[in-house]
Amino acid sequence: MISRVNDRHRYLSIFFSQKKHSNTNKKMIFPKGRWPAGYSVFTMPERILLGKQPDRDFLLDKVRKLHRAANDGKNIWLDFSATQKVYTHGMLYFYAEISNMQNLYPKFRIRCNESRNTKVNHVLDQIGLFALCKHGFTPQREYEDVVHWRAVKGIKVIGKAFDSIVDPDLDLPDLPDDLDIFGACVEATKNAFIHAYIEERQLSAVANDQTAWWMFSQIKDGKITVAICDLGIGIPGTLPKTNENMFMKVRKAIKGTIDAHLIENAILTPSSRTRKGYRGNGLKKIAKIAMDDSRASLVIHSGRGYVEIMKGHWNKTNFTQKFPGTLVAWKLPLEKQK
Amino acid sequence: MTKINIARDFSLFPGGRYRTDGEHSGEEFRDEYLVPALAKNELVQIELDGTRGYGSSFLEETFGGLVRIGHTPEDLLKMIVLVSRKPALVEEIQDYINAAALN
Repeated sequence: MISRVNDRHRYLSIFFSQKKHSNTNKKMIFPKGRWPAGYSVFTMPERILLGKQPDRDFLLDKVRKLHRAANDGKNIWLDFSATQKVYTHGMLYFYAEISNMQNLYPKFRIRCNESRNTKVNHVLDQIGLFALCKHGFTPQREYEDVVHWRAVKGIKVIGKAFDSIVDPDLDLPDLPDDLDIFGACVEATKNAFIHAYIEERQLSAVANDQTAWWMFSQIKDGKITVAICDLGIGIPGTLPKTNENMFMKVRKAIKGTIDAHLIENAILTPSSRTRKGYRGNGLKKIAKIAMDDSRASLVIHSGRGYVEIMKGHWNKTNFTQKFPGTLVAWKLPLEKQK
Repeated sequence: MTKINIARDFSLFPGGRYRTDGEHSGEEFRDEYLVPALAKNELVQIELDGTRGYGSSFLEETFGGLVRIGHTPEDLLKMIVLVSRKPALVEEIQDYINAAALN
């Protein structure tokens, strides 16, 4: 007998979907084994993160399986119920892959359910992932650091679209004059358009004639993060083989991978696969912001390589799993240096 | 003297190197603005400030490209006056002009 008011509400909610969401978000949590028919369900990880193991491997594995399913003609259901935290780099990469799948397989359906975490849902809505999954959502509350997530995508060099990532009236005046983030974005989008897709990557095709790059920005704690992702063959794949010096050849023979060293070398010793001496300065421009100013930082994920420049120090890591593209992210202070 | 303000006369968003890279490329700016201005045989003042910024490809193709189509660095450095609050930007362009003669 349901006599207590609390019990009555708990049992009723199983049978009737709520139009508005509570903080515990009961609406779209499906009991195990009762997913909508006709979909392959993919449970998204607790943290959508690219820069640390094992989260990086979980995310890359998940995307690999998604591609396999989409290629097999299956409809996909993304279960975000367990996702508690999303990070800029991981989220941008995942968004790019889903967006590319939509371009590649226009007939396949991708849907999702929400996280139990209302902030995560706000992010997924703000960046447009819910829209990609045709999932209607009305945030119950707005989080200050989420409303400033912005997203844009394109094919050729970024132009006016830059203003939708870095607000010319609100953000740009607060950036130090000598940090040319626009110039760096021009080079990064140009690299995506010109170099990233010279060959097809192993993971899947990319409809780069529809979208070649995806870009996010986020403002948090007085800093702006601007990140750009392409799904190409990666920086190591586009470099001339002559970039490998003797140290790299030995290291490659022992460790099997030198992608991080190749990226570092490409920044410090510019060269172009076109072999024209006046070209190849794009990566240097991209890195210059963090190299010249200790208040700015840069992260590059490409292939198995990860390079970070922070407070003037370089950190390099070679991961075992390959990141199928290139992601470049800058973090810049929003207050001008006095 | 011919005065060109890139932000006002060309674009707030200077693009990539070639026209095929997208709108407002260095190739476009050089061929449609700089080359005709230099052909008048008078000083050309270029105001660099006011745009969102510059990719290195844009600057190299604009100014280094002038060397590749026949202008000498000495002539260019005499005929072109670069105006900017950022000395590093002016130096970068001068480096591209000088380096283009060596490539």
